[in-house]
Amino acid sequence: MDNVLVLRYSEIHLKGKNRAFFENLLKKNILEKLEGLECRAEFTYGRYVICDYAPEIERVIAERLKKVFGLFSLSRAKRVISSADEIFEASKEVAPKSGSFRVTVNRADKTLPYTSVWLAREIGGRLLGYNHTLEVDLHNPDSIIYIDVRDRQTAYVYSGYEYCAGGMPVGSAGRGLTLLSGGIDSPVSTYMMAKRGLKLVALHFWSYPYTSIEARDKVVDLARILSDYTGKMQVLVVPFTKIQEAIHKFAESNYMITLVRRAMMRITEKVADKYHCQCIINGEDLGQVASQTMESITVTNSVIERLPVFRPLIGFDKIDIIELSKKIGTYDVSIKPFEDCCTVFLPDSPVTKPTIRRAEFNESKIEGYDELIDEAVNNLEVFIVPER
Amino acid sequence: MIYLDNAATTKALDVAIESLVTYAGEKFYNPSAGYAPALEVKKALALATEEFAQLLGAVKEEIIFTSCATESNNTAFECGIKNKKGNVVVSSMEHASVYESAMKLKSRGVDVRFIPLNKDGFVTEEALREVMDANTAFVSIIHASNETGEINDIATLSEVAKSINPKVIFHSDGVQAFCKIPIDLGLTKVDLYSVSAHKVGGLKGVGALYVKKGLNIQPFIVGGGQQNNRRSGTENVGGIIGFAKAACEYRESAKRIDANGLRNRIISKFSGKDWVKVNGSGNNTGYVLSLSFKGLKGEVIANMAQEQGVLIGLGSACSTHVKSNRVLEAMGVDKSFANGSIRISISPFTREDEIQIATDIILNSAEKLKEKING
Repeated sequence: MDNVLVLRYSEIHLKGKNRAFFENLLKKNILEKLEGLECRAEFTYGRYVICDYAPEIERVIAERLKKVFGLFSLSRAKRVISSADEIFEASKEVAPKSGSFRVTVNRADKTLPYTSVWLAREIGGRLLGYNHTLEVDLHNPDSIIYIDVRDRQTAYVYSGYEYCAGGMPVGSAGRGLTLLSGGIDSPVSTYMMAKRGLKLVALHFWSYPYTSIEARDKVVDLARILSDYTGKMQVLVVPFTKIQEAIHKFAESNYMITLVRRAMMRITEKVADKYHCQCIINGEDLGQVASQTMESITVTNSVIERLPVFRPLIGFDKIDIIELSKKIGTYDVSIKPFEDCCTVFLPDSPVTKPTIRRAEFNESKIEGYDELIDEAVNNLEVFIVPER
Repeated sequence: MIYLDNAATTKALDVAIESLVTYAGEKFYNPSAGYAPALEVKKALALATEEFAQLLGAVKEEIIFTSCATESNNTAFECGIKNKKGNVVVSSMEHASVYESAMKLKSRGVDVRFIPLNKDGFVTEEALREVMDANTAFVSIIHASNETGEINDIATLSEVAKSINPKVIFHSDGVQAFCKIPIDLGLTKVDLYSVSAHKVGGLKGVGALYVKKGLNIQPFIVGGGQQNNRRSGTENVGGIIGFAKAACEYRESAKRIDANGLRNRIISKFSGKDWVKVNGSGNNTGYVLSLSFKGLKGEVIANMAQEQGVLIGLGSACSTHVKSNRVLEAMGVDKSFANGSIRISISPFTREDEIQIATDIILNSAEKLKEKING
């Protein structure tokens, strides 16, 4: 009797001819996730099984796999030869100590000399004889013992499911450039788009010395947490100080934030090209702050020339974003109080309804604007997470 | 790099590192064991404790070694309060480990009172009298401020406290005063006094609590009954012996320098500027200088200085993650200044030329930033 983990994938089974593409990516992501752990993965049609590991690392393996997008659920199972005796031995191990139960059998191997119904009744009966405090309840049992009889005379016996992250395998939808500020929202938008299969590169604007080294490290820390889901990720840190100083010097103060965000978007599109990303992702949430009003988003978005900008949080309430960030595990890092954007030049009353004309007028006053944008793109620093 | 954040921590002195190596390696024995090599370790520990006690004007029976000054302060608050029904009085310039201990008592329903500061940032006799009464069970007043270096006259303040209630327990956090200014606890009415090793050239992970002879306090950490059952846990032998040796060396070096003279020389560079404020009156250890720059951010100045090889603090390193500065606020420093605060802190081993260079860099950074902000 072996301890194994049985894995099930999510939406991929809906795919038709290109299913192999999705499956291959998922397998690759699973193997990458299990790197450094002594275990073996078996990929058969519709069933992935992790086996040959020491019992003490089962939890570590399970926890890692729960963060692989594309997996729907996993079960900690016993693998035995598909004889009634062996299956009964395994069932004893996974059965509850007391209460009601039922046995559910799925028999894929039709060559066996018994039917599903016979096996369920047989195992159920033997369990009742083995433990008198158990009782059978087919309709509303406290626990269910699943027996999955596969080909090559192998059966998996387990008593429940643990949900995984769901979604689509990372990489299956292409590449995206995600803006990571260090706040609560952007890690959540990153997570959401990785879940839909995007392979992500993260971009952070750093205004040293107005923001600290800790602020930059915080973003790298967030990326490290996200990389549990996204796989290896590049974090690009753009030196943003000079542009901010120039905007502060030349532009109207209430347009500071608008112009800063327009500059960010311009840089982002250029960096996306350089890093072969097909879309931009940000954490904007309609109406949350002055820079996220309809008018502000319009003015900011207007500098983007080609790429789609995804805003997965646009319709979320802040409280829902916070909830999700706690679930992902980024919340505690996000709330560390390092400045995540330059607050040194923050105007007292930023404009909430900016216009493109006024923004362009202000930009025209900034000396060497295009050169500053190019300089920022060319001088970005690359971090890779996780470092191992 | 020029390091001017010695109030956060100091570089360990060679004697401290050597002690660690000796008592972790060759003489690794548990001082509670009965065999000869262990007894030797025990003897060395006792000798070091005696030397250490002298630095405080204490005797060795009055010293409990802890894992840090935070533990010492926690011990004082958890175990030093005899009259559980009495009120507790603390100053408004305490380190987070005292402040949070007091807040914990408050959340348990204890009447906790804060002594306001005068504008120079220290506790006056009158202010203490105002807040204390005959039912005060415990008073805690920091000896020298970790934010400003300002000294409280704990000898007088403890006298005053005992005159109001002879049974009051008087605690002082001495971390920033120890080895920097003369201390003779035996001559004062201070009951409990906390110190830390890594602020005076010792290692991190070692602290001590002075407990006046005759005062019995329950142990904060129980177990095998080490240190006469006052603080259990196998002694950090190398750390403690290193602490004693480093503190002696630090104290001797401190006697040889004129810290206030050095501090005044830094101040003179900033004088005459209405946008720079020195926090404190001048009754200072000389080792800490708190400056506030109007309309600027301390963090940005510190970052700019770092770019040029100068490391300074923003206030207590244990609380830089808290947005406002509690102590400067209590001193009445205007918010427009308080946000622009930096802390420069030296050690007896800081060279004069380092101070000179660093001061120029800090001033230059602040001026440059001011120019950029004002456009």
